[in-house]
Order: sequence, then structure tokens, then C-alpha cells
Amino acid sequence: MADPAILPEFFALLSVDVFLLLSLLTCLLDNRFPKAIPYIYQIAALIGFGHLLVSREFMILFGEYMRFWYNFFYLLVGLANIVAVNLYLAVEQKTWMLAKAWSGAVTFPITLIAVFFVSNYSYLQGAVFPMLILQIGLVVSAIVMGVSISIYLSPDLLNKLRRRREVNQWR
Amino acid sequence: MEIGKILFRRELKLVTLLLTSLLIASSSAAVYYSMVMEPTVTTATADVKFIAGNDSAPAGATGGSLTDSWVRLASLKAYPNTSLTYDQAVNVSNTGSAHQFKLTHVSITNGTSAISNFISITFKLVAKNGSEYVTFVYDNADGDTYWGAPPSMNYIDILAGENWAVKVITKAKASASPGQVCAIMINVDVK
Repeated sequence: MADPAILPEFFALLSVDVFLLLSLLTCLLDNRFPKAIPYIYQIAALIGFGHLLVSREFMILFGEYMRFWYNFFYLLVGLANIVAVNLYLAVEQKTWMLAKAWSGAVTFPITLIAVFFVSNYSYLQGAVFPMLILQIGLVVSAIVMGVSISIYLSPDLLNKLRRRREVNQWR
Repeated sequence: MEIGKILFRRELKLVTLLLTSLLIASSSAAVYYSMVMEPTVTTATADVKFIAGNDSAPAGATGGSLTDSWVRLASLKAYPNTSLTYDQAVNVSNTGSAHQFKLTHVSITNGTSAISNFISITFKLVAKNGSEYVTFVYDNADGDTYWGAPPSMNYIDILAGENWAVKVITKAKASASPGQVCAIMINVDVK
């Protein structure tokens, strides 16, 4: 049998990168976040590194099923933090533009990447998740990311769409 | 300038975080890479293997002489000027999915003086549907000093759950001395 394309620990690796990205981004936006937040995310990434080390040592003992779930849980924690930061910017800070930019540039692309790899893993290892939900998640994330990129590259696009709607209303 | 202020200067903080991020990310990737590249070997039961047949006991293919991958036919007999057939000297069983297999010669033991007593020892594979495939023939065509080297056989398809018989036919010369015993060891190669 061929070696599986990805191991369950890939989700932990992905999550470590998510925490590091959060750390750097919150550092760049330090006037909007508590000072300790970037360091807390660095510690979270370090925990992920420890997680990988433990997983490597007890690979056989833990078994594929258990390894998948604790790595996937860690990935969920990473994704939840991204969404939480997005909500924090929108609700607590009331910086709508920043929240929208965050969702287009961080939340949905990372969700898209995570869903892609989880569905890929499920497909190769036998369906652990309902594939339909994953595929819907993949499509929604891709659409939102595509729209965000279009608006980013052409900021007038949104105004043009608004104008067209207003013209249609007057007719 | 106070050390506290230096530590909290944005650029310095960002550079520090960037460096530690690089360190953590590359270390994590290295650990993951070492896991991917770690070879694992798992022992498993062979799908295609030798099992005892109806004539295994008289052919001497029992006990320690019969394993999954090789068999030693320790007490094959040959009668003068008569063919003796062991219909199921040993069987080949496939407990897994469809495979290809072949029998290969490992060794034939006896003193060279005994060879002159034999005409041939023929191994045939009998499929589940009764078709026979000649696998290899030991003879003394090269003279009475060495057994003729049996050529290697081609791989044959065996379907899932099938049992095939290994038929052995021995024949000795009319002038054969009594008490000549020959022991043959064969392997089953699977792909």
C-alpha cells in the first residue's frame, strides 16, 4: 500500500503556522490588541511544536485515529482564534473595514486551506467527516476569497455594483 | 532610554517575533518531515502460503518442514520403474485478494550416488479447476553426478480464497537400489 500523502500531524503543523501568523499580525496591529497577545500566540505555537514532538515519540502507541483527533482539535483551536480576532475587530473595536479586510485576507483563505487538507485527508484515509459539509465549506471559502481578491484588486468594483443596483431601482 | 521602552519598541518586537516564528516554524516542519520519512515495517501473515495437503504426511511435509513460505518434502519415495504420484504433497492457499505466485527451487539433498537411482521428480501445480501446470522437473539428464537444474517457472494468477495442490510424481530406474530417499525444499514467491 502506498504511503498516505499526509499524516494527521500535518494539521498540527498547519495550526502552528496559523498561531505564528496571528502572532505577527497582532504585533503589527499592536495598538488594537493587548500587548501580551503576540507572545501568547507564540507560546501557543510552541505548544504545537511540543505536540508534534510527543506525537512523533508515541506514534505507534497512539494510533492513527487518536492522532487525527487531537491534531484536528489543535487545528480547530487555531481556526477559532482567527475567527475570534475577526470578531474582536468587528464587535469590540468596531473597526469594520479592518474586520472585513481580515476576513478576506486571513479568515477565509486559512479556512479554505484547512478544509482542503482535511477533505483530502478524509478522502485518502476513509471518510471521517461528512464530505458534503467539507465540500460546501470549501466552495463557500473559495467564493468569499475570490470576491475579496477581486475587490482588493479593483476597489471600484463594489461602487460600480452599488451604482448599477441604484439605477435599476430608479427604473 | 529605558530598557522596557526598547523592548516594547514595535520594530524590535516584530523582528524578535519574526525570528522566533521562523525558528518554531522550521523546527516544526523538520519534526513533521522526520515523521513522514520514518520507515515503518509491520509484520503480517502471508496471503499466499503453503498448507498441508492430503499426502503431506507421507511426503514428509509436516511439522517443522512446513512453513508459510517454504516447505521441505523430507521423505519422498520412488519405486523402481513405476511412477508414484503424491496428489497433494502440499497445498498452496490464498487467503487474501488475487495474487500471482510461483514455486522456486531451494535445494535438493542427497548424496550424489543416489542420483543414478532416479529417473525424474516432477512438480506440478494443480489449479482449483483441475488445470495442471508443470513447475519444474528434477532429472539426471546431465549425468548421474548432478541433478538437472530446474528452470524457474513463470508467475501464475491465483484468485482470492483458492487452494491449489502441488502434485509430485517420482520415478526410479528399474535397477534402483532400495532405501534411496530424496529431500527437496521449495519456496513460494508471491507478488
